[in-house]
Amino acid sequence: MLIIPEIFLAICALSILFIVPFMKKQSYEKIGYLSLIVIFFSQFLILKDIFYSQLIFNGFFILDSFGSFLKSLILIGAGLIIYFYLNIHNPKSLRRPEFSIIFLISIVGMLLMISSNDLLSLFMSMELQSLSLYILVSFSRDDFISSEAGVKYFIIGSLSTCIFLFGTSLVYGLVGSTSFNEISIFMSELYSTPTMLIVGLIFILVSLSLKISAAPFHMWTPDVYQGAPSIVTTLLSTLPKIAAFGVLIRLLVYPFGEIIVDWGKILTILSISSMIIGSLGALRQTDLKRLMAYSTINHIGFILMALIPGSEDGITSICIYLIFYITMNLGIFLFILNMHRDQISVTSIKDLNGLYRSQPLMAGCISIILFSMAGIPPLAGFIGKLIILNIIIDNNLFFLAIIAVLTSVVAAFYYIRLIKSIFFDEPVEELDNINNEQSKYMLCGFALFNLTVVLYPQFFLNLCASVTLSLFAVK
Amino acid sequence: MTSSNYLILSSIVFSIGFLGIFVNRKNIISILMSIELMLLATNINFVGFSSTLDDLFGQIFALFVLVVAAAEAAIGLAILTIFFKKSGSISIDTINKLKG
Repeated sequence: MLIIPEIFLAICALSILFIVPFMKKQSYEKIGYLSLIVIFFSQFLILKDIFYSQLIFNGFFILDSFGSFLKSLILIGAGLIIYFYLNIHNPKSLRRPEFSIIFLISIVGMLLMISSNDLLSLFMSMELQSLSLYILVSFSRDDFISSEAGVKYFIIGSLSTCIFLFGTSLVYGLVGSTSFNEISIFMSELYSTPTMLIVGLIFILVSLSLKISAAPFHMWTPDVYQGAPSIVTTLLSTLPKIAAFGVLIRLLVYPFGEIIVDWGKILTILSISSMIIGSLGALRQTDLKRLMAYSTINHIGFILMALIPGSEDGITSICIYLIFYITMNLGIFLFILNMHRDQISVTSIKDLNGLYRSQPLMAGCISIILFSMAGIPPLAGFIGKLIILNIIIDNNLFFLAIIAVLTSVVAAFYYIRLIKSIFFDEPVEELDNINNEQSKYMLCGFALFNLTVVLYPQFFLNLCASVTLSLFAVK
Repeated sequence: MTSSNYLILSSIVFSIGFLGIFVNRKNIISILMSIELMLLATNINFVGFSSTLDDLFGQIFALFVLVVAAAEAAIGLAILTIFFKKSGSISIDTINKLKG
């Protein structure tokens, strides 16, 4: 009975779908607020059971504090994104009640992904999540580039599914079961690792890196981020990444924990190439959403690096980095969502020129968040990077640490270039002032969070350390 | 029949599907067909292993894969319809607005 939050969310999403046709005047706002309330209640249900640890549904799902923590992080992000959606000026094609419903269904998929303890349940929940994301990306039907991004995302996503399934079938053929517990028992009785298992693991890892957009499997990211409606890009760049990292950590630490030497090498390649491509690729971009895509790839490389030692500290630092990463990304995207000129949304970097003259407060907030992304002390992004680098150096992975620092320097260049155009460049045409109070307050809130984390980093450290303890207690 | 025969067959079918996505330069429908081919190749694997291991779970997995393949084809065709309405063509050459 402990999988209540997911069941509650799914039933609510379906019943909202059922009542929409019977509403006299179909208003997307009513449905949006309704789904906000649903998300709030399921957050409560998750926090209620945060200390339980149990296998449910015959070992198909597992409930532990690690999962509950990531789930509540996802639900907080989901609530914020729905709230953004309700408070900004949306184009006509997005003002439909279905948007919130499909959004809720994708959240159900992400929550199930995090707690799945079997390759079958993992596959089904991953499909639930990505099928709803395909629809959301091509949601803006009047827009040509949105449908093009939808086609691209669909093809790449289905390819990733096929690769995942092929890897799963190889693991099944060798182990005779797809349960994580069975795989773990099989691995502990092994003298030498069979090649088929390594091949299966590589297939699964490739598919998951397509999901988290780690280089060299990143090629879809800039296109899809640019083409999708901005509110969907906000979703794509934050929540599915948390879910996929939850899966990756659970999969690599528990069932495949014995062959850490093998997957460590693969993760090293993935993380180095994503850090390099994420920092160099962004230098020539002129579109803000495309730039954020490369920035995401860079951050993903950083997070993957912390997984290479496979230790408890590493996973603690991943949890901390994920919290900071979401707040920074949500802050930037909240600003991008509010960038309008004559009521038409614009996303070019040139449009930022001279923002300081017209809206000094917003310019200050956005530059705090950009500095935080670049990793300038004493902001939140710096603390996240510091903790990860500490762990890498403790494990004697000096080569990785040097590459991480060098790519951070390159990445800092393009963040600071944005700040330069905000403060010093002459505006060609000014942006519309942000006229909704909620967005202003939230943007200030994100900036304040990034600024003040340095006063209480111990809180996040203790929280994430106690959460990761549950992951290792299973062993 | 040993499990290696199933594995060889499914690997060949999977590779044909995989190449179909990358070599094919004509239209998007054939990409959807290639994806279907890859999903069915994994099904051969699951059912083959299921019979050699004498374990029913593989067949159950194959049924789930079939269900998901159907859902995926439905959504893929829906997205393709939207794309066709906007571009007037389903040729791969028309997917070129986003690059950089």
